[in-house]
This record gives sequence, structure tokens and C-alpha cells, in this order.
Amino acid sequence: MIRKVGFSVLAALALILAASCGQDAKKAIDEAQLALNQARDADAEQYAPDEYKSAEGLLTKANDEYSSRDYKQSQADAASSKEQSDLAKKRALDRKAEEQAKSKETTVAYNVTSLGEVPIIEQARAALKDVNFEFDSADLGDSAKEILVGNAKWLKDHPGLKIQIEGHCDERGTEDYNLALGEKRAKAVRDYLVSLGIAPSGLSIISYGESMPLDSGHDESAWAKNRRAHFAVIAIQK
Amino acid sequence: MLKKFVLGLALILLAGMILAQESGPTEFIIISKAPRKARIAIPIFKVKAISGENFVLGEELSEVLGKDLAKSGLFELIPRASYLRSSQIAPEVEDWPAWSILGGQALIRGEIVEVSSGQFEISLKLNDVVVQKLGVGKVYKGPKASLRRMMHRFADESIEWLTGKRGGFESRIAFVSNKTGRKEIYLADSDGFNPIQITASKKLNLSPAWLDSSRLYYVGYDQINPDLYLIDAFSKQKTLISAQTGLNISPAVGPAGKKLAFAMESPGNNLDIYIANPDGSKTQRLTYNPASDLEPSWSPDGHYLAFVSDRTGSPQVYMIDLYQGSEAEGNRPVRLSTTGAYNTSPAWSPDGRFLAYSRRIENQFDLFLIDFKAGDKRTEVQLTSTSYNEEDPGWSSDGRMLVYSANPNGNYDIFMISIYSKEPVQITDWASNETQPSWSQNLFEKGG
Repeated sequence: MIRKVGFSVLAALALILAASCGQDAKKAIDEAQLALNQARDADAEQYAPDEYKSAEGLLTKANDEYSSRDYKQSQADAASSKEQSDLAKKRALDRKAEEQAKSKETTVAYNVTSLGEVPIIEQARAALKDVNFEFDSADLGDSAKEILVGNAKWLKDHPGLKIQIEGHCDERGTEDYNLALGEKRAKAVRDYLVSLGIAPSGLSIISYGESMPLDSGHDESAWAKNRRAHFAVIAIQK
Repeated sequence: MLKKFVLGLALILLAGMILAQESGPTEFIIISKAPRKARIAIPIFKVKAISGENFVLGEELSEVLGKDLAKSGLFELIPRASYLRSSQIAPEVEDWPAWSILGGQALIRGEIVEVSSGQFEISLKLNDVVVQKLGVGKVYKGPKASLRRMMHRFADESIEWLTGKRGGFESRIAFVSNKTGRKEIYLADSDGFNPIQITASKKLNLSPAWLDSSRLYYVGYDQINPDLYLIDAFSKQKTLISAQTGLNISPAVGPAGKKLAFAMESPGNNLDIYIANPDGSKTQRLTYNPASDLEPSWSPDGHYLAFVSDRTGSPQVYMIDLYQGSEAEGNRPVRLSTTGAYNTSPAWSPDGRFLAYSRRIENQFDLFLIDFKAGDKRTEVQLTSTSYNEEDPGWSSDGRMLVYSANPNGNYDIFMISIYSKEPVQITDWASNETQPSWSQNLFEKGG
């Protein structure tokens, strides 16, 4: 009897252990995924393709291992993937900076008045602020309008840029409905910028729905960040 | 003895065909009153492999079959520990009282023989314990890779024996996963096994919808715009179906795959529902409303289209009569969802009786059914009631189950639920997010 109890306690412990390993592996995979996203945002696919591919491959492997319940290996591969992503991100940023420094020396200046040292795309990234929305709404609030007035002023000072306005949603609701909602958000922003005198020909829109969250959390603070319109320079006209 | 020999010979000769199908205890099932499940015993199958007896294979395959039957909500497995006769081997004469004393109504015996290297023959017999007779007997042949599929096929046969209508487990599910870091389209067997990735654009890929047993519509961002594609699951060849600047989303296949409905922004217009030929030609606009109209779903007779619209300010489910022309011709859609501020993802059942959809309650989504044929008036049934999200319902080919995505573990996985037993079953357990499942038709009918 004691042996039996001992055995079941052992079995329960083993179960808890297995479950916690699964949790650890899942956490490691989440972190690896986040690192990979950050590497991608840093254009690592272009600037550090080997490291990026390795990170991507390891993440897929970790996911496969998780599916086949090999949590230990999965966690290890997820950790390696994260390392590779971090490396890819760092190298991509270094190489990009290097390339931009070089191009500044050799190429003719853009048709745009560049504020000295910083390339125009970097300036745009810093100057064009995201605007946020309420749940299931594409209405521009007062603070969103204030931000857009600032963005419009910067765009007027830097003509010749082709801007894409991306509409994003939080994870709640269906994929398709959020695609429609993201589209509405992007349109609302475009229409407001046009009303402020920005040429519509320089503005395009796209919806990514709920697929590209800024914050992968599942609470209101994450959702609030994810309900946004984002600005990206897609072309520089001469 | 001779009779038995002849029977055995006939079984082999007529492999895969119905040999002796007694009319089983057919049940008329009403959803408001869950039917009593048929108690079934499935002893571990006997295996004669070339490399000796292979217990594991017999255990695995009997498990595949048992899981399908339990998942269907129509059967209840008798735990093996309670068997009085635990032998795998069917005796010359079945000890019927030993099974009926456990409340057993059916007993499945299986025998797997490796006839030549890597080639297997499975003989499966569903016995009706009540009348002490063979209910369904089948012999399937094929390579090892096809063994699981044979189990799904026999599960469908067993369900047909019980209810008169074939099950839907010999099928595949398509879904979206961000396993590689980007959303791509995947396929798997109906129990989540044998997953394969079919898109690899490294962009966004969404909303798979089966056209037939091998081709799917989906939304892809290959050209930096959400466009509609058709992909062949085997050759992985893609065809562009609709690529207007802006949204081309929500593909929905009409009866027999003869029409396609989807949501699109045509130049100068907002998001509306369009009907087209399967190749995207002859596009006709159906809805004309300044709000977003999307997520169409066909009634199986092609008479109606359910869809989502936020014309009243929040997403609600509507229905439009396709025989009355477009909305511009005065054809007013009827609102179906009357409760809740956020109702999406309508999916019409293959028999036309139910419309499944997802409703937001507080911050969570649950699955609901509208029952069009519950007596004289329309009624609503709540299928799930959890503290997490259930979304994107899609029907099995037999209309008894739904596949959907849910996030009880934080990330989204694929689940299934019987609309009768309302017991959810987890299908995928990946660390990434698996969403937007679409359940294929039964592959058996295609002779596959």
C-alpha cells in the first residue's frame, strides 16, 4: 500500500515535472519568437541573412519538438534560436548603419532636405508617430488628431516621400473582421492627413489586422498598444 | 466452418465494400436533448507483423479509432480495465454476456496482418452486442502510412451503422499557424496528425477555405496586399483569384464548389460581398452598404448567404436571399444575431439546419448555434461557455461537429466539439498559434 502511494506520488511528481517542462519550453519559444520578430524589424533578413535563417530554422525545430513533447530539446533549441536572433539583430543594425554611412559619402543627396547626419528613413521613423484607437473603433480621438497634426507638419516639411499607413488591431475578434477594422483605421488616418493638406498621391494604406502585434501580451495594456496606425516610408521620389 | 471460410474469402475479395451491414439501432438525434451514447468496447487489435507481433501498432490504431468515436459524442468507450475478457484475440464464439454485462452495445475487433514487407491488411468487425451479430465488417489494404486513415474510415463506417449517416473523420483540416514566425497555411489529418505546411511565402497567409478535396482558397500578402489565391495542396501551385488594391478576403465556397463568395474593396468602394465563378471571373456585387460587409457563408442549397456587417456600428450576423438580386435592387438583408454587441464568423451547417457563430461576451468569445428548425421558431444554443476564447467555427462534413480555435493555454490551438455532447477535444498542441481552421469534405467519397 505504501509502495503504491509512493508510486502514485512519484507519478504525480513526474507529471508536474513534465507539465512544468512544457511550460518552460513554451516560454522559451515565446521569447525566441519575440527575438525573431525584433530581428526581422531590424531588417536582419536582408542584412544578416545567415543568422536570421538559422534563428528561424531553430525556432521551427523547437516548435516541432514541442509538438512531439520533447520539451527539453525544444527549450534548448528555442534558447539557441533566441541567441541567433539577437545576434542577427545586432549585426543587421551594425551593417545597416555602416551601409548608410557609406552611401552618404558616395551618393548624391536626396531631393529631400536631410537634417545633416541622419538618413531620411530614420528621421521619418522617429518623427511619424503611431496613433492609437479604442476597441472596435476607427474613430480618431483628440490625442490621435494632435499626433497626426504633428505628422502632417513633418510630411509637409519633407515632401517627396511615399508613405504607407498600416492599420493594426488587437488580438480580440476574428481575423477577417480585424482586417476590415485595420483598413478602416488606416483610411481614417489617411483621410485626416488629406484634410490637413497632404497630397493623397503620397499616401497608401494597408491592413494587417491582428497579425502584427507590437506587444504579444494578452492584457489591456498590450491590446491598447496594438490598436494602432503605423507609418512606413515605402519610396523616396526624386 | 465452410460458411465462415466463404465469408472470409468474400471479405478479402470485396475489400473496402460493405459486406454485411445489419440495420443498426438508428437514432433520431435532437440537439435539445442529448442522445444516450452507445457504449462500445475496442480491445487492442491483434497484429501479425513480419517482424513478429507488434503490440504497439495494435494499441496505436485501436486508439485512433477509439478517439474518433469518443470525439463524435455518439459513442462512449468502455474502459479496458473493466473488460471481463481482456484477450486481444477474438474467440471462436464471442462471449456476448461478458460484454453486455458492462452495458456494451457494440464491440469492435481488429486484426492487422503484414501481408508483405510494409504492406498491411486490416480486418475490422463491429459487432452488435445486443443482437449478437456482425454489424459492419471491412477489410482494408495498404502501406503503413495509410493505416491511420483506415481507422478514420472505419470510425465513419461505425457512425453510419449507429446513425444511418456517415461520419466525417476521414478528412483533413486546413489552418493558419505562426510556427515559423509568420502566418502560413498548414494541413493535417482530422485528428491533427501528419501536419504539413503548404504556403511558404514568409508573408502573411490567412483564411483557408476548401474548394474540393485538394484545393483551397486563402488570403496571401505575396504582393504586399491582401489578395485572394487558390492553391493546390499537392503541387502547391498558386493561382491569383482576386487582387484589387485593398482587401480581398473572406473566401467562402458555394454548393458543389460552383460559386465563390468573398469580400472585396473595388475601386472607390468600401468592403462589400461579391459572388464570382470559382476562378474569380464574372464578379458580381451583392451588398451595397457604406459599412464593412464580410465573412460570407452559403446555405447548402445556395439560396441564402449569411455574412457579417457592422452597419449598425458593431459586427452582427445577417442573411440575404440570393434569389432576390443584389442589395442595390432593394433586397434587404435580415439580421440574424439579436443578442450581444459583437457577433462574427457565421458558418452554415451542411444540412442547413444550424448557423454557428462566435459571440463576444465581456472580453471573451464563445460559440453559439442558431437552430432554424427547432419547432416553429428560431432558437439559439450556446455551445461553449469558458473564460477563454472560442473562435472561427467550421463544420465537419456530417454536420455533427465543429472545428474551431481556442486559447485555454494562452496560445491558440485547434479544437473540435460535438454539437450533441458539447465536449471539446484538443486537436493540436503546438506552442505557436493555430487559428482559422477549415474542415474538408469526407475524402472517402472521392474514392481516395
